[in-house]
Amino acid sequence: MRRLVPLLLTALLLSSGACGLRQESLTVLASWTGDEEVAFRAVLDAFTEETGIEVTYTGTRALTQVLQTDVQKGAPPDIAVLPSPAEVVRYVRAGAVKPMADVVVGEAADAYSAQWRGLRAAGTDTVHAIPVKVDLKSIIWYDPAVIPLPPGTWAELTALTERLRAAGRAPWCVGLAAAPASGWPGTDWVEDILLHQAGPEVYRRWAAGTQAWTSAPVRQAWLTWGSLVLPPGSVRGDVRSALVTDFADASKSLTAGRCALEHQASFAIGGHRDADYFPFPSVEPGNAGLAEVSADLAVAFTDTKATRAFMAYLASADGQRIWPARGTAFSPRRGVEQHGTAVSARIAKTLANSPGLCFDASDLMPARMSGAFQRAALAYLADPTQLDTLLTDLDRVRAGLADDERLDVACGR
Amino acid sequence: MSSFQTGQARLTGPGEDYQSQLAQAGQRLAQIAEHNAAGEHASRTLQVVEGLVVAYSGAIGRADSFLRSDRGSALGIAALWDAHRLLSAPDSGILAQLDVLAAQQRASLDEQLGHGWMSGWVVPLWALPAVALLVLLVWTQVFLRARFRRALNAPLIAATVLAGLVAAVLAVVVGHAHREVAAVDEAVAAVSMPADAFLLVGERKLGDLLAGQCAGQCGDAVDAFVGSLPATVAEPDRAIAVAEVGPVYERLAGVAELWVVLTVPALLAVAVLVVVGLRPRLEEYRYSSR
Repeated sequence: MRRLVPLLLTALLLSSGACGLRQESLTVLASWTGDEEVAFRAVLDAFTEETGIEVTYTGTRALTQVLQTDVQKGAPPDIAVLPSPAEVVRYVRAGAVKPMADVVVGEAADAYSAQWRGLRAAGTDTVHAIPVKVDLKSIIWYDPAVIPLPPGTWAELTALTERLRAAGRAPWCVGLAAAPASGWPGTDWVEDILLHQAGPEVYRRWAAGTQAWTSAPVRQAWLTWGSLVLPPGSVRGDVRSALVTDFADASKSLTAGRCALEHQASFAIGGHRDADYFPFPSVEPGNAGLAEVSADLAVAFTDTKATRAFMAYLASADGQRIWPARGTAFSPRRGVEQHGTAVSARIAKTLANSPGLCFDASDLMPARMSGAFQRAALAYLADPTQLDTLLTDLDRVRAGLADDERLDVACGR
Repeated sequence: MSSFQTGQARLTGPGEDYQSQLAQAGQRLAQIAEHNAAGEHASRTLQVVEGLVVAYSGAIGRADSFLRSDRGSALGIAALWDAHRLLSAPDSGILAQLDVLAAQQRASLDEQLGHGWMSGWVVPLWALPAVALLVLLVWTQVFLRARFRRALNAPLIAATVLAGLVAAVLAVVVGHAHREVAAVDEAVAAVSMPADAFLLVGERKLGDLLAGQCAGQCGDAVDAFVGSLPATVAEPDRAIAVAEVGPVYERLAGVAELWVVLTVPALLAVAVLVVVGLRPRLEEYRYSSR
């Protein structure tokens, strides 16, 4: 028996040591691949260097499906970076996401505006998510060599489109393919037009699921989009080819001069070295200066020392500084210096000074609703005569949503 | 792809072959998960593949739904393009991730064969002493026969046979393990070639559909895809022979345990037999020398 006691102690020590080692690594799942993965890995490497905690990163465009499968099997990653607040809320309400209130304390707690603090809570009264980066979506990219004077109003934008079309030049670069979420670039169009046409209150109600798709303002937003891109010659190729054009290839077409304008978020800046942007113009007077934004939010599915250290690092000034230092991403944290070109500095300024930041509406909608919205955007371009049927179908999906699936977020600062 | 291209999908859906192969893919992924040899990294890769397969079957389902109506052909082709990207996108598609997973499993097998008593440079370390032991046992019996004029020493003969058997069994097992891993490579290659041929047939048909929809203006990804396809593709044989290579890693782990299970008791038995066999002679020698 006396021999067993030291043996047992040794075994216990060994097993506790093994547990300690297991905690010194974590798995991170996000949607970034390619250049964005390289940029995010720089954040992960800096975290590892500072803490000694190893990170295994997996990047996949099929993030929603992969994460859902993981959670259903009871084997989620330690951390997932979700591109939509609605997805965060879904997992928070399912009890899968761990609260992280005590990792964001002191200076880090106050370094985010009320909008971002609300987003971090994801419909609860504690911190569940940390914004990794933020993107400005209400912008239109153009080549200054082709368009010396960018339009300031919707009427000027329409006139520019017609002039380019009449000159035999394709005005718009449009790419809606983005497997497995093809159609989202189209949803961005409808959202921006609704925001700048009907105003922030209608936009809020629509995003929250209390404004009908068949209502006049929403229907008008679709028609306004159609009036710009559906006339023959408005889109490189035609709208049928836009259905299978990858959204990243639409950006490349702008760079190559195959088309003149592109409605795409600020993340496209990496491929737009020579391009400039102008703000999405107000369709109706009084809605100028509003800007749609999106955010990538990190959530923790396990509550360990390593995951807490990682979340605290992401919220810290050091963690928020690394990606923006490359000039291709933007931090929601106050006081983080923006590097890069004059264009990226203007984007950062808009994010800091816009009178109203409105979250991407489809990112606030539950996955069923946003998925149907994406497919409706494709279907509308394929056959615009079906608009009323599509809107009625979207309202059917809306009617089937539970109250606790809806996110009501006002535009603000 | 054939059912979509010919319009049969309107009545039959994506087809029995597709349903059957999708079900098989699910079963195979479950088997890989059960016998995963490469730890947590491979588990993560496997989970990504499983999620991608869900997204892929969703895209095929949408293509089926759209292509049932003539009005939806443009949307159907877009959904097929989505499915293709999910399957074949460089680095992030299902096939690329399966390559990563295969490399992870193969590296794990290599590590197992490259470490412990089955690795190439360790084999002589136990094989040479085993041969030396056999030689010594035989030499001892020859010596005893000459020195003490004893025709047979049963315990020493038993020790020699036992040591020889253990050495032979271990040699056969090591050879078999290396051959088994080589057989896995052959089986993978045997499946990959016809699978690639089937993929090419589907891609050629998708290329024709895209060419009709795009007229060369669907962006770099579509242009590169259509441009990479041969003008004509021969239909391969219908059957893809799937070799059942089974859970090699677990068998190798069983083989690794054999070292302890087989050699330790056998060497103890050899030692006992040697003592039993030599003791009368030693006693005889001791008494005769007094």
